[in-house]
Amino acid sequence: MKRRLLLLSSAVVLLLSMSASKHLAGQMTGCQQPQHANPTNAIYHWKTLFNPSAEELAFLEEHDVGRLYIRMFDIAPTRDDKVYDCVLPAPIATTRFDAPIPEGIEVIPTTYITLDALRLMEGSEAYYAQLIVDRLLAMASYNECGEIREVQFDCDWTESTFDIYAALTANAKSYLNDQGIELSITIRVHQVDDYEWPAANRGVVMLYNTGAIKHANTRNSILDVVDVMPYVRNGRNPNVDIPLDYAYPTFGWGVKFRNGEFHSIVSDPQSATLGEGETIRDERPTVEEVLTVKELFVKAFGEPYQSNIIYHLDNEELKNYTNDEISQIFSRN
Amino acid sequence: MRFHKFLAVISLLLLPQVSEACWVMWYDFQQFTLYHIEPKYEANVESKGAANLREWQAMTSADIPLDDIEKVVYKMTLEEYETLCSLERYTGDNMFAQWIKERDAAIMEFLLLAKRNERIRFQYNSLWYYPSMKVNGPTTLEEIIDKSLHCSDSRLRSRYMLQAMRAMFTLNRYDECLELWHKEFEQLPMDDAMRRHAYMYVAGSLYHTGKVDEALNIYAMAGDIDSIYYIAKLENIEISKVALIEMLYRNNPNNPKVFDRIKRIVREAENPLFLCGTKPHTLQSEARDLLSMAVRLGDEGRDAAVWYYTAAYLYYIEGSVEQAYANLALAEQSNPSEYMGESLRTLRIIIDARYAKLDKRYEKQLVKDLRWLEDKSFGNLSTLNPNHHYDSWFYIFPDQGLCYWNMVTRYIINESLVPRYTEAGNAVRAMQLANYSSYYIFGGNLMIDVWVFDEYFDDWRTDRYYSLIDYRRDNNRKNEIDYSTFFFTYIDEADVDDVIAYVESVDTPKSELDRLLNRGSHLDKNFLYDIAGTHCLRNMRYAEAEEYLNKVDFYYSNHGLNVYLEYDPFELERVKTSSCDFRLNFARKMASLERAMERSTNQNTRARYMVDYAIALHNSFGRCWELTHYHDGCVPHMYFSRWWYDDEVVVAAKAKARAMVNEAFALIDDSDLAAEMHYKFGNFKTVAKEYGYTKYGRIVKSQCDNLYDYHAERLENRY
Repeated sequence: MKRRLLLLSSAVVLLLSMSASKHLAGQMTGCQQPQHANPTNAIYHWKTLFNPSAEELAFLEEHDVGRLYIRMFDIAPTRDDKVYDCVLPAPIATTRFDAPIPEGIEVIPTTYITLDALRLMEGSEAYYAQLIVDRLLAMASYNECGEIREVQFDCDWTESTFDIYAALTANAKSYLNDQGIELSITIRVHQVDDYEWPAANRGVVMLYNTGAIKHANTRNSILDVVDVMPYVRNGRNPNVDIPLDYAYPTFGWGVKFRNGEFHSIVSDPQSATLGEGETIRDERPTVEEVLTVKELFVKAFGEPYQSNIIYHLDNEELKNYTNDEISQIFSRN
Repeated sequence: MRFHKFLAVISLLLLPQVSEACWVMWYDFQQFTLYHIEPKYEANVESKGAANLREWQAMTSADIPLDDIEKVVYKMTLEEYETLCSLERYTGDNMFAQWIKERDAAIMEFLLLAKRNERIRFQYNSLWYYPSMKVNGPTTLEEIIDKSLHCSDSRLRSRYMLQAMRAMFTLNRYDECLELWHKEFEQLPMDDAMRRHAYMYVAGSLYHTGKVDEALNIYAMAGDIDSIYYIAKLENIEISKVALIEMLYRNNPNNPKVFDRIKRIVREAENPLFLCGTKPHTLQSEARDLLSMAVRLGDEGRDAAVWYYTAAYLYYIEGSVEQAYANLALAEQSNPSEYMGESLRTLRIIIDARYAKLDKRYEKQLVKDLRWLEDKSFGNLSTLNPNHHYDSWFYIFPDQGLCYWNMVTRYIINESLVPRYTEAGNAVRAMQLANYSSYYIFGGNLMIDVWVFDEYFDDWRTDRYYSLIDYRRDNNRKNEIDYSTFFFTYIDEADVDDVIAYVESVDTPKSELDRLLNRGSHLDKNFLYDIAGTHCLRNMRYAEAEEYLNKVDFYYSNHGLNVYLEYDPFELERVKTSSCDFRLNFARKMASLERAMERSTNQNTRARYMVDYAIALHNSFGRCWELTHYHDGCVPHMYFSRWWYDDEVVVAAKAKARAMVNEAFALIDDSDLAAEMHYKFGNFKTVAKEYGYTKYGRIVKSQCDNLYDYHAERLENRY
């Protein structure tokens, strides 16, 4: 606890020093973002079944959530039984819609692309860009998600896969823009100061999963101010000027280690039983940590373009936060 | 000029037909199979598609051509068909489209459903399928099934039921497929096209409901080897392809898939044969199983000629000559059809070319064989590539197979006889054969399709068609064809004395074989003398070079070649020159320098000649390579791979040039000349230091800043 307080206080020192620094002040001014005409709160839906509970629907209403990022499917290498011995990138874990989209909420169809699938797309990026977009839009249409204005690609691209992903998003962006739809991409914290980002109309900085989950020494892999600070210091690369929204975590889990080695993720760490040599690291960012990171980001990069986004719509997780805490996360200055 | 890449592609055409085209440098034997069996079985079975077209014709009008029906039923996309449906009036010239549009709304409606069914099934089979994806009208297979099962039009009932079955199969509703079969199809006549279509879905449904044996039985009866293999793989059943082929053959000797499979096995066995040139190789297990089966079935008597022929050819591939001849004899004694008789004769020619003793007796036989192959080649030129059953993308090249017989001729010559005669030391005969192999087919009145790369369209396109004679006469392009054939590649890399012997021999044929080969060869004197002269230049035999090049017409040496000279070989620096008669002029000057060096008594004068000679010699293998070669690098032909850059001829010539320069400098005792020579080679430091008092010394001293600051001892770098 002492260590956590120490880290938080160091973040505060950083914030103060950022305010005092002429250089950073200038940088902050330079990083003012354009603002969307209709700013609104947003949330991710990251399950394979869309059937929000009464509490979840109430949450959407209470917090005036106007935009819903729905993960439609993941894309992973898949063996095609119709073609012998052939592994291709294909959709898996497609979300089933058992309930209608709540009225007045804009849906942003989202897909998560694994790196292995991305590698298999090399050379056929245009082809896959169209397949992905077509399927996202087909799902949105079939499930009556309303008018689609934005589609989101989520991928933890690396240096070696950047070119493939950049080609994929460039093609998807062009294909979508022709239909009057924007493409957004997710950006990990460690990617914010990259010299180049894949082509997109807008981005969402994911302010979670900032640490190495499998390392025993990691304090909190979901969100640790220490992990975020280096990227805030460097600021945003002027080469990448797409409007950004920010996504904050409102979830937790336990990370089980056996003899110091990563073993598994445990959804309910409090009731998990531990064997010999096993320990659990309880990870759940406090609202203070989230707000500290939020403040760091807003100071360094400006207010979000359209939304503060929460990850994710799950009452089992959201009930750990008060309405007031959620409102603080959503709030804009 | 939009298209700068020129003439990389050419093909041969039979007048007036237009055929496919292709790349000069490819070698085509890998595209062929020498295995040549009668396609008699394939004619007996009408495809399901053809039967269906005739049924549509019967249902509409006998006046409607099958092509029109095919265009609408099979080739028209869903979008095109939907457009047709939405038209108020059809004004096109397709009679079937017109008929159903104006007179038969039921057929119109059925085809719309069928095409939508295909589209949805295609998408459903994709891992990316999600309903409502870009499909108008019924978006689900369930809707298709429902609509089909409620059909009340007796004319179209079985067709609707088939559509229902297809949709059910795609949705994995196999029990319903089987039910529908029993209810709607089983009682139809065996040859009913809809029944035959549905039967395959029954087999698939049986397999998916665990009745593997029953499914295999249906596939076996239908001769569907691919499905049997597929199921065997899925079920981890060890199955010998050859045993399966034998089973299918015994079940139905006319099953076209039996011999299609056999061809594939033989084709795979052939591959290394072509890749390894003359070396026979061990057969893989499948081909070995086929060999055993072929011998066994040959002994049984039915189709004995085909089976013994198969065995003989496989024995030939593995180099078992005696067995090859023995089985060939058995095939010949088995009352072969005329078609198989020709295949047997061809195989005998092939084996003889590879293994017969190369004596007069063989050469007499070879005359007969080549004449026969010539007749067959010219007689079959209209049947371009009868063997493209295996490789559908077959291309025709200049100097490459235009038909089976042309390919066989070139195979026996290029792969067997030329290497064997070369090895036996008879390079002249090898050259005669190579020349014949590359050119005899032009006796068939062929046209050449010349391609150019069109930068505007970013693609190759036909520029124009030529006869070979017109092609050679065209002043606007270099002659790529004559300088990239098998013959040219062979003679270009041959020994100079052998080349001269061949060139000298063409006017005095001694035997029937000489005359036959000459008749089919390209014996243009300009072509041959230029090659002989160039070989002499390459071997520094300048006087002889002058002799041969002198016989080449001025027109040919300036318009008939594939290369032209750019720089003056006698200059140390790059100086542009006229390429007019460039090889002859070079030979003359070099021969003259040789004589001058020989005659010169003054060592300074001799040294000057030696330096001039050395510079030209070096350049003739360097920046002026066109003097000694036809290609910068290797000839664009995959058969040979001599790389001129580091060839021993080139290395020796350059070494000789260097030695001569050194020797010349050692000879010079006149300071002014020494200074001039060092100045010429850029040795400014030496000029300034040792000959500063001479004319060139003063020049260097006064312009030292511009003359490499005295230290440009660049003799080596000049080359």
